[in-house]
Amino acid sequence: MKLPVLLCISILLLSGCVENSVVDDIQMVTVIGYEKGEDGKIKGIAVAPQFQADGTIQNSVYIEEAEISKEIRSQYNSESPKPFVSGKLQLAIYSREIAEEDGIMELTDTLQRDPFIGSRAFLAISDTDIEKMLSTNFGNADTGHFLHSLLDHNSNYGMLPKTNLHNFFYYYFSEGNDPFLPLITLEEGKVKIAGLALLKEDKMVAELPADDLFTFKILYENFSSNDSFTTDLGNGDHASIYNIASKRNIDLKMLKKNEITIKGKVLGVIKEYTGEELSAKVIDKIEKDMEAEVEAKGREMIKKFQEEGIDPLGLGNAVRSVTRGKFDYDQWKDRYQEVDIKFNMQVVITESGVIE
Amino acid sequence: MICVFQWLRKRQKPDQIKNLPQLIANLKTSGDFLHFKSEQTGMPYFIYYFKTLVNEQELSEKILAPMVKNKVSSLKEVKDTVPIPGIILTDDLSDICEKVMIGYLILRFNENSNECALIPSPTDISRKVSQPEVEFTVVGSKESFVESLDKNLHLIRKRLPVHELKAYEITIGKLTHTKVAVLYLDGITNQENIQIVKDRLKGIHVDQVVDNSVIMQLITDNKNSPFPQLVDTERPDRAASVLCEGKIVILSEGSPQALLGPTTFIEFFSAFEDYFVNWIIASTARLIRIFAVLFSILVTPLYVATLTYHYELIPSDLLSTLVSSRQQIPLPPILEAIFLELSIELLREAGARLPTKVGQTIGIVGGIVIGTASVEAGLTSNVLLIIVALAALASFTTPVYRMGNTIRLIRFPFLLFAHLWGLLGVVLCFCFLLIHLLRLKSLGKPFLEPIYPLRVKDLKDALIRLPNKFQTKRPIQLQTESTVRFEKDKNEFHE
Amino acid sequence: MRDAEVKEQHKISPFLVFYLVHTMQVGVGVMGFQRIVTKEAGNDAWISVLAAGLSLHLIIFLMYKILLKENGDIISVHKNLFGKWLGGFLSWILIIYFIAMSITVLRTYIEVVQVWMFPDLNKWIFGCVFLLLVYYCLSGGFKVVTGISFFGVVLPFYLLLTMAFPLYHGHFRDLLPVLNHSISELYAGAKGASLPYLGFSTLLIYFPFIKDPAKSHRWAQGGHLLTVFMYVVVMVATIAFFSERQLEKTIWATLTTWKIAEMPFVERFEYIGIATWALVILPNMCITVWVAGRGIRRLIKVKQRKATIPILILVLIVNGMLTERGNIDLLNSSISEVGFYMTYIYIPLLFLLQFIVYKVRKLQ
Repeated sequence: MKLPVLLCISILLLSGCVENSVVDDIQMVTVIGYEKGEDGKIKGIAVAPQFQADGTIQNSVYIEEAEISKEIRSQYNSESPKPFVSGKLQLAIYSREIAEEDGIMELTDTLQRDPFIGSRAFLAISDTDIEKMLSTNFGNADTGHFLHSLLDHNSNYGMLPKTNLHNFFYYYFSEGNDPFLPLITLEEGKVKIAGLALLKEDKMVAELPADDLFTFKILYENFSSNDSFTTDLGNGDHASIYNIASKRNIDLKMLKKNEITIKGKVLGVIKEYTGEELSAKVIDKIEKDMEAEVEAKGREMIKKFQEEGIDPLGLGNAVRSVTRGKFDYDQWKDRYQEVDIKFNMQVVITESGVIE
Repeated sequence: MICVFQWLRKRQKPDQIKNLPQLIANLKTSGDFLHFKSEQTGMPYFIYYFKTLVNEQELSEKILAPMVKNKVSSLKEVKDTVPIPGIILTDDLSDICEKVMIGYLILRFNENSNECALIPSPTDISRKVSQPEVEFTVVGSKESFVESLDKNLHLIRKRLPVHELKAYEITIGKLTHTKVAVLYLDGITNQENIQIVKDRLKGIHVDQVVDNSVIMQLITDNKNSPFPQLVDTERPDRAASVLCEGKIVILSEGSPQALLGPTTFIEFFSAFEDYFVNWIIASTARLIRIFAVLFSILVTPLYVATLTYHYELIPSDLLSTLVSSRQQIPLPPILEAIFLELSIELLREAGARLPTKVGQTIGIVGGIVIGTASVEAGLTSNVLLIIVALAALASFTTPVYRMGNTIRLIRFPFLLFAHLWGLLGVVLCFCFLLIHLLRLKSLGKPFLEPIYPLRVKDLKDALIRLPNKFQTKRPIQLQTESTVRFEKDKNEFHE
Repeated sequence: MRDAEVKEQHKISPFLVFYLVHTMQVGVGVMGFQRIVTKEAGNDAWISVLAAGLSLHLIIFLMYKILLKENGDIISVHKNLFGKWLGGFLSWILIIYFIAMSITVLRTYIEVVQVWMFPDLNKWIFGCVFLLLVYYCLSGGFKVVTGISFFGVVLPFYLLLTMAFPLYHGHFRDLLPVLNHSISELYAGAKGASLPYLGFSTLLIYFPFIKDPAKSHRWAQGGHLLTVFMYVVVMVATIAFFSERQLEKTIWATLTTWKIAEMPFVERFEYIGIATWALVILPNMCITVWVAGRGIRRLIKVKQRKATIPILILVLIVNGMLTERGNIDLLNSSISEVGFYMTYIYIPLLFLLQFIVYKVRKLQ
């Protein structure tokens, strides 16, 4: 009885083992960037952190050029002492050039197909040179984790709308939505969020500057944020509000008359006011001024979307959700540009800080 | 039962011994067998006994003195004059042989006849009732069982002064003749359970039974299981308490441990102290112990699985800590883990074998010196060192010592499976464990009860201990003849 | 019919049928049934799932009627209604169906592990270890099988909580407009949705092992109801989480939704989910193999152990020989198809036939 058991165990241990990936024997790619190389090739830049025993982190940057993205991976392996693994990928960056000319789907397909890549990874488009961005060291940190945290906290608590790998595919495959991705730049050794890249299918067609993110976020989703929003009250005074909670509502009741109303309601607390006395009247004025400012920006933005024929706000999907019967997206796309999209803002200031 | 005795008698009587003189001649070959002839009374009489078994002070004061005083001249007179109960007049050789070995002395008048008187006068050399060491509790009784069956029985009878408490006695062990007592409460304990225990005890045919643990191994349901299927305790109060629940207690001569059964898996994680403290504290303690067991079994295998296969699972913030701690270690996680687990086992084993004071030193020296040194030498990562030490600590929280050993043992197959298939391996091994536990029985009753078969009513005193007012019924598992322990309404303060 | 009797000590409490029914339904199907349903019923897929689930309550009711009238298992029913040869033939078909079911379950699970965790997992060795586990369980008798079903329901139940993540990230507008699909689309969806519900038909064989079977009826219905609830939750979460065309491309939607889950101590929940799923698969395998073995034991007079071992070897070999995704898919869909017709057509027919035969016999 004992011998067969031993035999079984040894067979198990000898041949049952699967290929392992011990944490310190692998290169975990945390960021990958794609740029256009020479002769129509794709240049792939991968960063893998090296965790040293003394607690410091160094980032190894691997740069390869190839015809298709799959080839790049095998080239990395030929350069590295340890095998590359993709399970900890946090961010994929595409150059603006690729996003505008070729579209990014070809390069993102592998991210979707590979079961080892998590859905929470970010996709981003870079305005500046990716090679330079990824070669920069951001303190004693793994570049991928650093950039991921940057985007993550900005979309959770800041003005960046929520995006991730899953979201991108959701919008890409959904006919009533168009995807958008954060646009990042490297300025003086620091990575900044420069705005949003708006995509049609998988090609970048427009961008929103960072200043417009607040307005876009109000139009796009319900959120609460710790960031502040400042408005100019004229006569040299400024007021800014923070602790913002925003609710968005798409009103489709007048759809038959070709009218869609987006209602935004923002609750906030005054953080800073440069004027003299913060009376009820002034608060009222701040509310009105903010409403006017955001509404103006929002309407402009919507107009731009309609002109470009993109729908990052998901109005197509919203219209579908109230339309009985089979929804004809082609017909909707023609109609989209003619629809009168209204935007109404309501700002409510709930507190004015701890002083009167 | 009777046939076993006859069988034993047949065995112990050497064929060549036909009469008492021959028997005595045989016994005389032992140096501590004393014999003398006395003529102080009218008739000369002969006394034979083992001086190591007989209380000689009692012999002179209670036996010889009255005999001299009353001038005894026949066996019948001996029985009337000697103030010791239980004197037997017999000529049965096997009876004589048996009794003389347990502290009776032989008295006879006629050197050639088989007729003699057997007078019980055993010495009792055993340790005094002392404090429990394994199951010490801060509050509660400080008595523990000793190596004498009679004293142990006394300790229980003292706590349960009712006539329903029955002690069924049986002698097992061809050479050791160990007296074993099966205790139960008549009218409460399930008859079928008692019968199972009796049958199994009767089925034991070994030469020596030196301890209750031997009995436990011999009557346990599944002998190939690392899990103990009967609880052992050194606390008479615990034994008395489970008797009231309807369980069976097995005591044996020479063993300071009582066996309790039928039991359940969960019972191994309930300390008797749980009943001395408030139910909230007791329940918390039990939950912590259950968690400690799971932690102890699973944490090292999970470490091995995650670090060998599932780097994706590690949160990014933790990743740098883990990777940098492993950076200079040449061994794969499995060897690293086995190395550390084995060192802990070595420390424990060495500590258990050595005298207490040396043992403590070994523990400290081993723990601190070896641990620190192996991290510095780059043999193990400090993260794993912490994990293994915590796992070992957690395994010691199990109140029943035997179960603690089992818990530490079953970690090793988990480690192997974790190395083989990562998390999947851990789950598969867990399935093996689960099926094994499902198949186990304690005296024919399911071992995993009340979880499976799910008996919600029995959960009142399993994973948690509910307050007294919920404890009115005896556990369903024991299928007691009377199910009600007490009536809730009569306890005014339970409102 | 002497060997049809079951000793009292081997019988299980009626309420355990709840777990037996539920655990047999939740298996590999729930990992990716969403795609098949939404293909037909779109965002109304959850209605199809609900409808299919509710309709099966009726089938369970019919099963109980048949079995209670017979007071035995389906093999007795077959023998009683169709005689020894035809009845035996039908019983054999049923047994082959159960064996095929266990092969499907094991092979699909191994496929999932291969795709998601270990691409180079050796399916022979893994299958061998898994089947050893099954054998170890089966040799403990039906009570142990029921026990493992119980744990197979209770322990992985926490996985339902992970559906909170896709619900949190979901776009609930996708569920609107409700009932926007025609009846025929909903029916086609319901047909697809009924597949992960199948498996409770093992009840037909283990029925005599239930103590007080009439009482167990409501537990069987309850177990099924829990499945319906679970599937509807999973379906709603999936519809909200994916866009329609995205879901079409996703083979294992449930596993993909786990990718979004993140907790402070662990990222990437799908690995934990897949590993835990072994605990869901195990009772599935145990019950199907046990049922097949029991069926064979009833048909030809062999010991159940002797019937079980060849079944396990057969499962292992077929499992090892199926290599391509296409074949596995084909096996899955054909088993589902057979199961569908067996449940929706054969059971009601059997009920009618039994009803008539009993009426006729009574008149005579």
